[in-house]
Amino acid sequence: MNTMIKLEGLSKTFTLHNQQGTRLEVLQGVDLSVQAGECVVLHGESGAGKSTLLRTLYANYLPSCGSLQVRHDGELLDLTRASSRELLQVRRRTLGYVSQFLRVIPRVSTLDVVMQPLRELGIPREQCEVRALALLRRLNVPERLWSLAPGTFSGGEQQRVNIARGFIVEYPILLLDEPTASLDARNAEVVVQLIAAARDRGAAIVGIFHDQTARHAVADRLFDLRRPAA
Amino acid sequence: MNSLNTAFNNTDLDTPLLRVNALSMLYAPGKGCEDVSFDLYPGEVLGIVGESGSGKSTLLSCLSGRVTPTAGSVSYRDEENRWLDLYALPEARRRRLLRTEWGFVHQHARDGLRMGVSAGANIGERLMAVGERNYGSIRQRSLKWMADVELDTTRIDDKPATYSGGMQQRLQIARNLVTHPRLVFMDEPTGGLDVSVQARLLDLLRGLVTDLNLAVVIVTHDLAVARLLAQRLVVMRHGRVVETGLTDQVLDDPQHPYTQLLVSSVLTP
Repeated sequence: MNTMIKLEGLSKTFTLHNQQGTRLEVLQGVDLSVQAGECVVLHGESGAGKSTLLRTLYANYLPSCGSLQVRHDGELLDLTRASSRELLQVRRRTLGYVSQFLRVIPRVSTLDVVMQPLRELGIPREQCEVRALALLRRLNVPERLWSLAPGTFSGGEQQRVNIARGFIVEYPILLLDEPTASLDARNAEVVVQLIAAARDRGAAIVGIFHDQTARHAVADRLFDLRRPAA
Repeated sequence: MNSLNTAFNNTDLDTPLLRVNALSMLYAPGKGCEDVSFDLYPGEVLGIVGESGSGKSTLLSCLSGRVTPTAGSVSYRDEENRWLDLYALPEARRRRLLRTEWGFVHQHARDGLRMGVSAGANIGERLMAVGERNYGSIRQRSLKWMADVELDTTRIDDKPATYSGGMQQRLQIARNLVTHPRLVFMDEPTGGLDVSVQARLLDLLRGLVTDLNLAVVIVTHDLAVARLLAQRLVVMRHGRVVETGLTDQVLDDPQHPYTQLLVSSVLTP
């Protein structure tokens, strides 16, 4: 088995300096390994730290202690010790992250939003465009929207644009935060198929799915997170 | 020649372009910048954020050879791959860098433009500084750059004073980029502009930075601008660096009390 993600004793505490120094201990001593071709679904009530764990895996949040290794270019790399430049490379080539909400940039078209991660790998525009169009079509994003900036789109349309963007690069590791949350059944099914295809090509996937149908369809196993005792 | 160039460029990307070591310039205790160190790599955009008076602009002036620091050093790797100690260079050489391999985009376009000559002459001036003498070719390239920054090319002979603020800022950018600099310093480039104009300029900058593989040091107090353009952030307070990291990490999980205050004070419409 090929371990793609390995967390050991990972903890995350937020210290709110401007709110009486309140300390929020969200993750405590999390151990988790995820293999290539495996989809692990994070499980636990609201506030248990599912999104925090996902963001920490993406180096968006800084872990307080413990180690967080991901396989990058064939080697396990501890993200807690990596430089900013290494982290950017890991994100560019290894770690894909589909957040719950699309970050809209004024004036940038849907097509460009979707293509950007692939463009950053130095792939020629024409090739990126072919892949972006195929994904947008598959996710039923209406063709008349492709040249528009997604700022005025509905929640579901924005989420599908975000998913197309997250799946345009074939990342070895995918982190998915509620990718089916605001989708109807037909589109949620397309996302489930995309996830299954990614897993079949050997991607390691960690996700959060509140929607039971989607969770059952993609999860190889559940990973329980509990709110640490106060 | 081509394959040689590519091979050179690959190693080139893994070597810093600018090395800043323990740089200080204090006008008074806590006024200016103190003990700042970082490396900047080719194609990297570094944002410097902090409130007015935090030392951001002083730092930018020291980095760009415009104000001599009281301590520390700034080293720059030039096009021939030689390391230059910025403040050990003769003044003339330093000025030449600013006109050729570097660019500086001022907050107020009139500080970076020559208001008395035409838009075309403003762009052409930097080309002449690097030895271009053919009038026709200078004009052609000026026209091309006006189009690239979305300026009306029929206004090439108009003076910048007749341009709007947003147009002047785009002209200043064209003037800086025409010589294909490797490193550009920007001081609040979207500062005095209307938001609609800001969005257009940001979009333009984002595209140019990627297409030309520019290294950029951008000073801004606008965290949204920093998020959009910078990969890495340096947060300054009272002249010192209080926090650094990936832009989204610093903004989404700020560690230092001051950064937390800065981030939580922003109004999101």
